[in-house]
Amino acid sequence: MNRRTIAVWVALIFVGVLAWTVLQDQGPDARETSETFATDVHEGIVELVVIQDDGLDVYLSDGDSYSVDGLTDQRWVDFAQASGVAVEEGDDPLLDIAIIAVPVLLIILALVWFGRRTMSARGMGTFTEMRKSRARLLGETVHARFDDVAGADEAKLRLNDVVAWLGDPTRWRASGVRMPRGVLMEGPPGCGKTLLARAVAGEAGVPFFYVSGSEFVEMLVGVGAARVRDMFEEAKKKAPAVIFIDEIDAIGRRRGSGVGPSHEEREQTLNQLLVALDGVEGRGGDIVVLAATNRADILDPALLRPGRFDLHLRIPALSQEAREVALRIHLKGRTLDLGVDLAALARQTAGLSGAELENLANEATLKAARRVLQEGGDASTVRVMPADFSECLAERAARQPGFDRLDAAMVASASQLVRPDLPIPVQLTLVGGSEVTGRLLWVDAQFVKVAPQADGESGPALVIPKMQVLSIAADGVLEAADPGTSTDPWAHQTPELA
Amino acid sequence: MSLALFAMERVAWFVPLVLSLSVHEWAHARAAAALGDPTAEAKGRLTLDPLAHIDPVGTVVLPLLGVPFGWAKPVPVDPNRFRSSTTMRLGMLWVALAGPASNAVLAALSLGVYALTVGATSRLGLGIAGAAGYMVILNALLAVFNLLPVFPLDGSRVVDGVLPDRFSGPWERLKSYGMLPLGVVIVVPQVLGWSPFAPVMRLIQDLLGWVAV
Repeated sequence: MNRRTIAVWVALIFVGVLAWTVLQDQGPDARETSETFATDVHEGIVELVVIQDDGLDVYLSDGDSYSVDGLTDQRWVDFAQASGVAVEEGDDPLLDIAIIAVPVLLIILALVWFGRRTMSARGMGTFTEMRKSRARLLGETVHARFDDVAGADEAKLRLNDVVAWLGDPTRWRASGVRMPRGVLMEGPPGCGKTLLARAVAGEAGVPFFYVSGSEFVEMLVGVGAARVRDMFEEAKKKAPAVIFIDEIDAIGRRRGSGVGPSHEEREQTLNQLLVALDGVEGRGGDIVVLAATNRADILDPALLRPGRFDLHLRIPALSQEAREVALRIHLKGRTLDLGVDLAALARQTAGLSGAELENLANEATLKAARRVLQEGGDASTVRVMPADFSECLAERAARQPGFDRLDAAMVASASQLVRPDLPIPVQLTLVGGSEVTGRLLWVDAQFVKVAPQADGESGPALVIPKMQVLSIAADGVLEAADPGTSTDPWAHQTPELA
Repeated sequence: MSLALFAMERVAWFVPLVLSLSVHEWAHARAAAALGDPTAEAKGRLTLDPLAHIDPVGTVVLPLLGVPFGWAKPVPVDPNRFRSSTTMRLGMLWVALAGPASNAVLAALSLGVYALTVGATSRLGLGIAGAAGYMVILNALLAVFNLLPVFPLDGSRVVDGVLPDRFSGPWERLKSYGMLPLGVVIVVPQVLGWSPFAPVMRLIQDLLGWVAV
């Protein structure tokens, strides 16, 4: 039991007993008329009279007592006093009120105070705090440059205009150009959207505000919208500036779609964002809003119209050349063995994103460093060998079967689309050069599922990302599908159109 | 009656209620902890501190307004985390029973205090006796009321625990009415002018009178 509990109990018991004590003596129970009182005074058996605000309490010498209601006239008191009866003033009602009011006020104050403390302890600040934008200003100067971003050459070209504009907005505006207010970058995870946004701020030398779309989302309706307003206010003070909204699909989802509970909050936030984008230039702020998503298809059309996010950049997955550049960037400052062929490495890493390449470079360096440092070598002698890379790649490949477990649930339902009695023999050539021969079980936008067959033995099914597939040969299809049947599961259904 | 006395009366009702409800909620939390569920403790509810249990409206505003009905914040219990030595059903039964049981114990203790102080001649002694007598009545009513088999009172959890499976269908259907049956249980006696608690009250008053003599 802690001290606060004891303190509260003692205080409450004190107040409670006090209240009951005050309630105890409420004067005599009996009620008599003024005639009885007058008679008793005449007979001299009245010992004490207490003046209450609604009458008199009368105490007799034989121990009896009664109240006479309504005797508020001072003459009754004078009459009793004249007959030699002691007279006392009853408690002042104001004093009574004070007796009660003080403890009650104390209780209320304590409740409010402790309530506040528990609220802030839970991390719920005041409402004003909640409405503050969570956008972070990442330094007045951002060091990222376009050279740090591999690939996305077309996007860089377009963003160069934005950079030039941010560098000297007035000159450009004088020439009558309206710059894109918003730039939407769309691309697969890890392709460098965030880095590109930082590079825009870095190249232009302007402040960079970073916020994630999900940070606008709160339980309370209106908070997200307030945060949007606050963010633009902040950015305007530092204009020209770049605001980067990462994962904008968290708030920018198409309005009025989807089933489920209230979308009020998100829609309000989105509406506020739309209004803010409209007003960015009008209200004198030279702010460019960059946004990133990998689901541009679910964004609200109003976000995409000209005047809002009017520049759309698709950041593609890295090409072979871009991967080589990315590897070079991420291996900068590390000593590579002469045998390391970055071009060949780039060929082997098809489908890997910039973030994954960074990870690969780091893991390979880690292997090299471990080898050297564990033997007490000097850090300057660390040298990344070709074997380090191939080991890392082999480890990545070994993790591939994990796909199978991950997608098991998805496959279980989707694989019913392909009839198991009609095997489609296929031969896949994968990026690493290996080949898989077997039955095609199922294909979707990103994966193929194949039951490998070698020498008539079938192995466990593999789910292979399409990115890893170099080529696919399905020469057996025609033989397998005799004219009476079809591999298309919907082929037998007659189209029904109303 | 002066305003001061009126307010004092409210305070005199309010304080015992807050203390009794705190003990009640603590008992739930304590029982759950004893059965192995640390949820209530993690939420800071395994305490006698009234501030952890009071509901601003149900425990403060309504009683101070003189409404003879209120509630405290419910203690969260996760039957999944009970020790395996008890079934979830029986565990919930014990946790539910702990609250009314604690009020019964409080009533008994208060009766003891009442018996000791009721003969006092000082005003303070009479005040303590008054408070203790009120605690007896209040806690007896809390125990009985909470044991009513009406959702979401503790009594309904007891029913959950002991009801044979074949009756669970109608019972769950009844529960789907939410708080409505509770409202009926509270309002109907008020309208009819007859309360199922009247016999309880009379019994306790007789008891108090008997102790006083």
